[in-house]
Amino acid sequence: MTCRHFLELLDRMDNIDIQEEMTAHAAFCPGCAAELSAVMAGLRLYRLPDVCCSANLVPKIMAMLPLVPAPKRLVSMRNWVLAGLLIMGSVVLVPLMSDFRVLKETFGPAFTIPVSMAFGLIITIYLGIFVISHIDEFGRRLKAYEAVKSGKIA
Amino acid sequence: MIQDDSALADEKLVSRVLDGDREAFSVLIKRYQARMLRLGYGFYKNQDEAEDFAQDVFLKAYTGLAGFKGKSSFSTWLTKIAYNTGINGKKKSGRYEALEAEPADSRNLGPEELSIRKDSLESLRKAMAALPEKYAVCLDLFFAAGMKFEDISEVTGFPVNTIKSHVFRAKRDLRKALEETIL
Repeated sequence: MTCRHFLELLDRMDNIDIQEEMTAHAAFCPGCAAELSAVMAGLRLYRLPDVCCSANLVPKIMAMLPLVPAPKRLVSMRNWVLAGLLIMGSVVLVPLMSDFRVLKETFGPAFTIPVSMAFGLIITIYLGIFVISHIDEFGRRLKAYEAVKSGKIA
Repeated sequence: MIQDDSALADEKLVSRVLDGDREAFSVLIKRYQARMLRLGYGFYKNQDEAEDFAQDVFLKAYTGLAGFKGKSSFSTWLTKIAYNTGINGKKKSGRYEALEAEPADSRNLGPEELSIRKDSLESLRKAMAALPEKYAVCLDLFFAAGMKFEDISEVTGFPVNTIKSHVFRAKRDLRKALEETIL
């Protein structure tokens, strides 16, 4: 890499980690290393918080939150889990009921096929709605997990 | 509780707020208040209006939090709300300008560091002044907020290449200004 190319890359660089080839060049070129550290120092110092955060801002906003509409998921996770447990409970318990056994004896073993299909359909619809309504949430959680994994934040 | 929350990722905090934990939002406010106030200063140029601006932005973000889909980072989403609030602000005081102030905590800075900071500020203010008004904020988002080109494009709606070319010129000028100070 030439010094000219290095400076070109330095000026074009996004706010990301320095490219390996730039670090390698700076390691043996004192002039470019000085340019790099000058720009980095300039940016670091420019980015120092220069606005003194008002001590009142956070309490002021927090005091206003109860007065504005609270953000809410359409259905809370707790209710989703309860609904899921209810459906699963029905699937397990309904075949054990005496009325079900009477129906089975009346209509024969083939009676269980449409009932199983109905249960399967209910579970599929439940899971489908759950996935569709939580896909953004899953995305958010995945990003949070990736941030933790990359060590950026706990 | 809040002490533990302060280390959590933004997305986790958003989930907690959506689950009804209002206190989790205070961590997000603390995390981004400096950026919001800085943008507020850029648009309004005085402390009171900058604080009103920051308050407005955080309340908008809170009420609209269910609309945060996680497609971009929370900081980009919040900055987009701030940008739109600033651009549409009726009492905006002239064009967007970088704040000209001492760092909030300059106790640990030596004279050379303060001089570098001053040169950086002057160079970037000049670069902003030379740009058409609507692009000035892009430089502050890049140089002060440390945002990436893609994220600035997401916030402002300007093409990435346009932002890149403005940042390129500003950074070249900054490097030249610092050459005289440091080298």
